[in-house]
Amino acid sequence: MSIPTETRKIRQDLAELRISLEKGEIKLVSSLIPQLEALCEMGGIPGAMRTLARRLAGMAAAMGPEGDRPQKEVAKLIQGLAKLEHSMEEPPAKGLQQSASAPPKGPTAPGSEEMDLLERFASRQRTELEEFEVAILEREKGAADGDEFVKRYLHTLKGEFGVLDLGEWSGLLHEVETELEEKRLGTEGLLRLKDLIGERLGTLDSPRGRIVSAEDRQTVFGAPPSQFPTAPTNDPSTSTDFAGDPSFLVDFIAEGGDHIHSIEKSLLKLEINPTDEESINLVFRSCHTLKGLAAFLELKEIQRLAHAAENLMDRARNHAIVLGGQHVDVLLEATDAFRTLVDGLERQVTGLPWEPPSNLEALIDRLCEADYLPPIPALPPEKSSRMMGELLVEKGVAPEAVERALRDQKEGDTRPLGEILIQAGEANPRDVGQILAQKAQVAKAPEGKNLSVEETIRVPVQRLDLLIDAIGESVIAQSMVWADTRLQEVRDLALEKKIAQATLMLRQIQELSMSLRMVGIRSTFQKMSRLVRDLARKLDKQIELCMEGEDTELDKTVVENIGDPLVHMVRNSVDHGIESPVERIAAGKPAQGRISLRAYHKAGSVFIEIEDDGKGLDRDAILRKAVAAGKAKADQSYSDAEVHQMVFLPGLSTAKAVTDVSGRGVGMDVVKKNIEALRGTVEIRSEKGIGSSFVIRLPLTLAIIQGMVVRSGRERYIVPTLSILTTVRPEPGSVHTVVGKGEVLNLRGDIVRLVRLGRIFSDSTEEDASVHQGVVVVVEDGFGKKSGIVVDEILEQQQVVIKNIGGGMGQVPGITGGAVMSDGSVSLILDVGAVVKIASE
Amino acid sequence: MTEMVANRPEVAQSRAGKYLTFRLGEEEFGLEILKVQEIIQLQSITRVPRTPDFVRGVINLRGKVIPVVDLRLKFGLDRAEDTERTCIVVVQIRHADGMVVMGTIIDEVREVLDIPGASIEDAPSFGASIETEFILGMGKIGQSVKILLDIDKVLSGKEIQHIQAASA
Repeated sequence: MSIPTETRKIRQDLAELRISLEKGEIKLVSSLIPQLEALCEMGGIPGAMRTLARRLAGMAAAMGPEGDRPQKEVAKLIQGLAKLEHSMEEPPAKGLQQSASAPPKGPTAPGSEEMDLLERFASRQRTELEEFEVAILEREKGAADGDEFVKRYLHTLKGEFGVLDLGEWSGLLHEVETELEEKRLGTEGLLRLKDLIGERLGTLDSPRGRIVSAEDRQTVFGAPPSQFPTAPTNDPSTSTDFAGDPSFLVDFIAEGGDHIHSIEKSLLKLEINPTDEESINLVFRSCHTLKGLAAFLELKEIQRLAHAAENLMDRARNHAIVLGGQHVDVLLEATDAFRTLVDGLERQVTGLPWEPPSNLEALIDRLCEADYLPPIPALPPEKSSRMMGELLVEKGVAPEAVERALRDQKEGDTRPLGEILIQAGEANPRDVGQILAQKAQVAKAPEGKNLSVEETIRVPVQRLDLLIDAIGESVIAQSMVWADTRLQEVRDLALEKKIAQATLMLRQIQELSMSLRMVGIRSTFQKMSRLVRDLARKLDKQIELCMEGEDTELDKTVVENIGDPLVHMVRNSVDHGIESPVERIAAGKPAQGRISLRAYHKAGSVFIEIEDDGKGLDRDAILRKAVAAGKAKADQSYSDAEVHQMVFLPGLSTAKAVTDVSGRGVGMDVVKKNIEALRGTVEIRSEKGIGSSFVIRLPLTLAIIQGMVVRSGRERYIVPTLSILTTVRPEPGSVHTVVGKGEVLNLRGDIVRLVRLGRIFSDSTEEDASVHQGVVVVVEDGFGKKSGIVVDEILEQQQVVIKNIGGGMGQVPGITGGAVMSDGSVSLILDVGAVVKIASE
Repeated sequence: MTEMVANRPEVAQSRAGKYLTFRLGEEEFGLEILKVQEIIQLQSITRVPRTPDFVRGVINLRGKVIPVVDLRLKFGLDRAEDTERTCIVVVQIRHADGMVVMGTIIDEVREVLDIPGASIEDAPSFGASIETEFILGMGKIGQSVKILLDIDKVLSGKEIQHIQAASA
């Protein structure tokens, strides 16, 4: 199926037009149309190509001859054109002679398919890079799996870059591999490489992102790598040097083996389902990579074979042919030949004699001819759902034999039909196996898609939030129905049951919707391991970082915002907590310090702990400083917890002297503020000489809180359960007034200041009820101090969806938001810290 | 006056249009219809502590919590008992952070009027005692005069700063 000369001309014209379009001469859009139309009229071109051309012509026509054309549209058009050109590439002549040095495709604008690939690649690499970093750090510690992972990762990445036509990148990776082998590149270089790739992942689709500049190289290798060519894969003059290097051949043998294996696996899948796009693409890509690698190493036989196979797969990929049994057969033969060739290579490397197989030329010819075999329609699926016996008869088993076997089964033979026939020598095991495989396929995956990979859909967060919001609304609406007094009047058990059922379902949906926003904290933790390592090295300390519970899931927003506070606290632990090895040994501790990061779920909250076995907080120094700053009284005694909380006091923490003396506190007030913004709390436990631990407690989700509904006067408020320590009904005699104004409660020996909610929130002149008629909700303010908020009554405990109390209201002190209650009215959610603060003013 | 308006046709043009008219005490007001999202019955309002008097509180508008402003108090009129005619006009106003939905409590809704530009005059100056910057113009309908409000200015800008100052 050779493409006629006219087509070739059109292709040239289109390429020219595309290039001028890329240069920005968008006036030419209209001149594309006749070319594309001519292409559509032409006979003998594949349908997919025709469709694409027609679509592009439509696009060009829609843009009109003049006027503003959105950049995006033009870019899309250019992409489409590049794809069209690519699909118009001439198929190779039979003998393949002229393509012996087939160069990898030039850096053309990526087609939309490639864009998709790139995007998927980038998003996958983001996670894998983190693993890579972990492995680098482990490798440094001497872990063999770390080293292995690093090497494997570099190698895979190199291959992937190659497949994605990012030649310069795969060149860079190749250099890194060599340098690593020669031990010229250490942990630092690998980390720099990781950072570089991480930075550039997002820009790989731009022409700029594809280029690895000299500076980039310098970033990775430290000094300008004068002895290395800029892009070995693209430079034929140096390729011979590399080809002669046995280490490359060894690499190729390993990598080639993997590709061959994956080709074989996918081919077997294709035999069952000839239109499985995923497998077709996989085989195509593997062949392409094999070809590229072989060309680079000047392994002509493998290259030619791979090229022929790739061409065949390309046709399948473009739907020009449907892969039939004969195609798969010849491809499988090619796979075997690959294996022989690679094995032979191995022998050659180890110095053993080897002769290339003689049937190679014939096989390549057959691969090319396979192109022209009439496509055999795929087995209609309903066929496989038919009876086993019927299918066997089709395979050539005598009908009488099948009937006999069926009769045997009826008479009590428990063996499956296939087995009876095989044992009777009537059917051959291969046929039976094939039919069974077909049947299994049909039973398992009616769509014919059978991927073990976890499939994901990327959804904009905004859309997700809208969904979660809407579900929250429906939960409220539902509880409004449930709470409707008319329902109680009806007293219809069946109706109630139905509503209860609906409520249950809705709750499930709500829980599910919440989980949509949950992400693991692993990546945040992994950043810490890098941080600890770098800092420890800088400070000449030996520190081991242990992580637990990296798979603990938190709300996305929480994970995003907890990073900074964590960095801060971990840095503090490294910098000020852990002592130098000398000090540690003097204190009778192992020279290597230990920092543990832990995340776990407990009691409806997520806990994150940062624990170190360093010198602990210096209580006296903190207190001294706090007194000096006027934040504490010299003659008052403070509990340890209170002193520790002083670390979070603003102003105190930024004083440099404190850092020098006590070792902690720079920016700790910011840490606390950030955590509180996430409605979390942070607690410190510390023992001098033993170590400290910071425990952060965070809500599972930001959208819902568990709250206690209280009444104060005529208003209802919600107190977040998380901030409530206890509730008490004050006994007579336990409340004392201070100078006639302030009130305190003696709570089991603790003096708790009382705050009358009614007084600070109400402008009414109503006489306050006696405290004894109300309830005291004891809360902890931000600094470890207990306060009691006096309310009239506790109504209930309830989960509420937090709502912003309306734009234009600004921030209202003492109120974090509103919640729609089951009767449809709004209740305000208290910010207890702020309420206590208002009372102190 | 007429002359003045005639000299500034573009102003007259921009002010002409449909207005929702309503009553506050003895005075008649008009609100650009495009700013009005809906009119709802008075419902239970949750008071928000430590906010200016004219902020009556917040309500639940189909799951969204929105603030409600008492226009009587906003304009310094006497507080009045709510009647069955009292209602909440929900408006969309332009605020520094974008569009904001708010409720305004008014005594009674009258009608929707199409007021031509020629019937709208600038507000006269009353000296320092009365602020006129939130008045779009005075609409003359027959014998009556409607005060056309620039609701963006009424509920945002300075006043919002005021709320925020009160809450700071």
